[in-house]
Amino acid sequence: MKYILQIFALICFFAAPAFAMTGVEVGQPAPGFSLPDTHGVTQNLSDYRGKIVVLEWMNHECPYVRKHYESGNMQALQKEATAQDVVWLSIVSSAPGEQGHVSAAEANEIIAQTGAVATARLLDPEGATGRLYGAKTTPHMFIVDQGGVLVYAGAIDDSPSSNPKTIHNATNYVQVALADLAAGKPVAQAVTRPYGCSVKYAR
Amino acid sequence: MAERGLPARKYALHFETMKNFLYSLIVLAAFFVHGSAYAQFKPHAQIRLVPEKTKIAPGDAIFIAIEQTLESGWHSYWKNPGDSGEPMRVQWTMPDGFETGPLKWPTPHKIMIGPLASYGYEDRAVLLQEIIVPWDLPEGPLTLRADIDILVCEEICIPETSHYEVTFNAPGAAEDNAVYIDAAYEFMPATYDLSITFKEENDLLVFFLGPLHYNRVQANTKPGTTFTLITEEWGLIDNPSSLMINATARTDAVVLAQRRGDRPLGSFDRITGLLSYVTPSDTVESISFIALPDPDWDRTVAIAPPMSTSTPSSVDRSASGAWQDTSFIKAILFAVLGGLILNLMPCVFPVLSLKALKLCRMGGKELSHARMHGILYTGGILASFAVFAVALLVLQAAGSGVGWGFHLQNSGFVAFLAYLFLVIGLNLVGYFEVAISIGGRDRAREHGYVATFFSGVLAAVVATPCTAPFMGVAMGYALTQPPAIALSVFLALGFGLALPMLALSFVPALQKIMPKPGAWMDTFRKVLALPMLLAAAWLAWVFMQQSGQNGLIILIAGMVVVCLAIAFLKSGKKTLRLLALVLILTAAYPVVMKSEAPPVPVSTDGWAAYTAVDFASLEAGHDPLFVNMTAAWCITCKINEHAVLAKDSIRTLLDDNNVVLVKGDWTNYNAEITAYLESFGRDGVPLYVYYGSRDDAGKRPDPVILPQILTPSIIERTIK
Repeated sequence: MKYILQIFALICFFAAPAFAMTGVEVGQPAPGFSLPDTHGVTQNLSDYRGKIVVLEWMNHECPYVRKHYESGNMQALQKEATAQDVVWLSIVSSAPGEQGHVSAAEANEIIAQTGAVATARLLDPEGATGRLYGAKTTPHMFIVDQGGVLVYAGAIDDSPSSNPKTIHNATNYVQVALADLAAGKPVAQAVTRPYGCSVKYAR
Repeated sequence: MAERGLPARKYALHFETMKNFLYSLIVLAAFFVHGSAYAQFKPHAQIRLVPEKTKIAPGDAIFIAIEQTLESGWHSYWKNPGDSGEPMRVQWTMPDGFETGPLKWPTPHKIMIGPLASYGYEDRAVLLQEIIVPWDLPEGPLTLRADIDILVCEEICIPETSHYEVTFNAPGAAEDNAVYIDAAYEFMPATYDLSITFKEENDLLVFFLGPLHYNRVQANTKPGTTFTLITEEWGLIDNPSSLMINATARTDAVVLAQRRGDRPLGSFDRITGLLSYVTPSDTVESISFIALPDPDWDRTVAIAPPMSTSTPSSVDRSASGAWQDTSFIKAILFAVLGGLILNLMPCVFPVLSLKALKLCRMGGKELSHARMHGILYTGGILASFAVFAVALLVLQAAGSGVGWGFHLQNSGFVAFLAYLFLVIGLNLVGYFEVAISIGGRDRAREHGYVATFFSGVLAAVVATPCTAPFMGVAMGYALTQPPAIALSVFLALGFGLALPMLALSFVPALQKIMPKPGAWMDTFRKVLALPMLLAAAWLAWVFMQQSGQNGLIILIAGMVVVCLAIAFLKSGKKTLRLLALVLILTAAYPVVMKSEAPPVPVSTDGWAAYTAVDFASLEAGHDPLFVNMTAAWCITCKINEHAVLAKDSIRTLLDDNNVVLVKGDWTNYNAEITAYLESFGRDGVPLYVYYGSRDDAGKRPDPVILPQILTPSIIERTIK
């Protein structure tokens, strides 16, 4: 009898209530996640504690994402950021059968073609991490600071258009936010409206 | 320096030209590729411009309709597109003196795409652009040009660009499309003179519609229609969530609430939007509104949400705060110390002392056996803590706002613990002896090894309701660290809990200090039943806080049933044993039942209930604040409250200094309280924070975190 109860007690530890997800809010700790990258390595957000982490939701077929990759804008920003020891994780949350869904091999091919220089490209076909962060569009950008706090959420820049000509005059929010962080200042423009295609989650 | 810079600049210029040249080539190539396929290319959104009339006079104000015909399955967007998408953009090129008025958008639909929601149009939509004709209108034909960018999406999105022209006052027959424009106007949101106020409350955007609206809205809607709220500004509401509506014919007032979006309300001094509904004739109509801030609502709340890092009332996790000061070694030490103290808690002590006595009864029989018991007991505890830590970390990684003690927020677990304490109490008092075992009759059983391991597990389980001091800081630290460190802190806590037994089993000298076994032990055992049974009663009280009085009755009935079941089990008769099994299954009901909606925390005895909104307004005030974060299942909290905070002298002291008392009850899951605890690097209760009063310059000193065990003198010193 006592043993049964004791075993039951052990089970109860597991059966702890699963609360509804809390989502992300700028100023709050960024929720942890772990996702496989295109080389099969599991990447945990917590691995990068102590570094600034940029999360970029992407879908290589979305015209808004293509604007930033075909113009070389995104690669240039990735290069600039990673050179400053910023970790850049591109995340693909397209569900199987939806636009932008890629296998690891396909993703690597696209990375090679576009010359993307992010730290890693992560595959989230179930969309769990996308939903956890409330990623709505591609691109949708998040910045997590060294202490694991979310300090930016929103658009890549202030030019919500798929026309590559608009990049030239745009203010890049991510670039500005990273500069703020590098200067030890709080991010001035911490929440902006993300623009682009919807993230192609499973329906 | 300047000279050196020059060639680089030249190169840059050269590079720019190259880039422009390449870009032109690409554009040219694209043109040919597209141009050749143009014959088959059909836009997903067909656009047509329809002027109200083609003969215009000076000073006219007319509409030009922009008609979108969308391919089946495709949609375009409203001016606030929602979670994704872009609204149509029109760039007018007009002769001198012409002006554009507002662009009118018909009532959009809420379009759900997986977990996201957009606002837009399907099939067909007609937008109306007002054009103001100048008084000095020149003679002859005039052409207006519209460059239109539109994003159309099905599953994928395609931006389409096109341009259109409308010519006025051309020779020949005049067109009159007033009927068409009137029909299009029918789809525009209606404007009423509504008095609406808004405020933010508990992560909701709440709108109050003044009297007289309910009947008006009711008359226009199809019974059972779903109302949809759409704000013109992005990010104010959580788009996919549904609108909650509270309307009563009696008061004739309407209260609307929807979950807040990602964007801070900031300094919004008005919110414009639409309330759409289905009419009795099955068309979608809407009322446009302008809501002003509720005059009774403290604006500082929206400008500076209490949990954001920028406010002085909370401590930024990344900058300062308890967790960063807590080095790893310190956290480990605190955890071991906390574990040690757990041993003295009324719930653990009986289990521990019995085990210790059993160990002593073995006397010096075999040192190796005693050591084996010590190791197994420790193993049982460590295994339990590891399981607990992993469960907690997994939940946190999954984004749950859970903290230390989270399992006690589950009424089912509390009910289970109540039964467990009851059964242990009954066993101690001698109501029954443990005779059933699942182990075989092997050597391990002979030595009671299995039992020892599980008594370690038991000690860990019964320890959980008694969160000892020193643990708050360590746990808060642990949960912000990478899993490996977090796990080590939890294991250190378990090690602290196991330490007395481990020491006893390894050091025979310590066993000699223990009293000699004898008949007194039986009495002692019975005495120990008291704290266990009291703990069961206390847990039943906690359960009542979570499940209400009806829940309590069910649990008490379950406890009686358990007593009966044990009696049946004792009888040894097969049928009765079977019956006992049925009874135990019945008793499990409170463990698995869904607790009813937890009672709303109320202000009691001079304490204001903590909500983020209320607290922010209190914090914005002048008076000193004392925040008490507590839970019914937190025994340390209860002791502090009764022995210190409720003391007359302390209450007088607090009253005399105008201290505002705020109490957050974490008995049930509460995201706001979790967030508050986190802002101080804590993951559990109790937490006591004192905010000094604002000085003449309106500045408040940094909040002071009080120790987890309060004494009257601590309070006195803090306030003075």
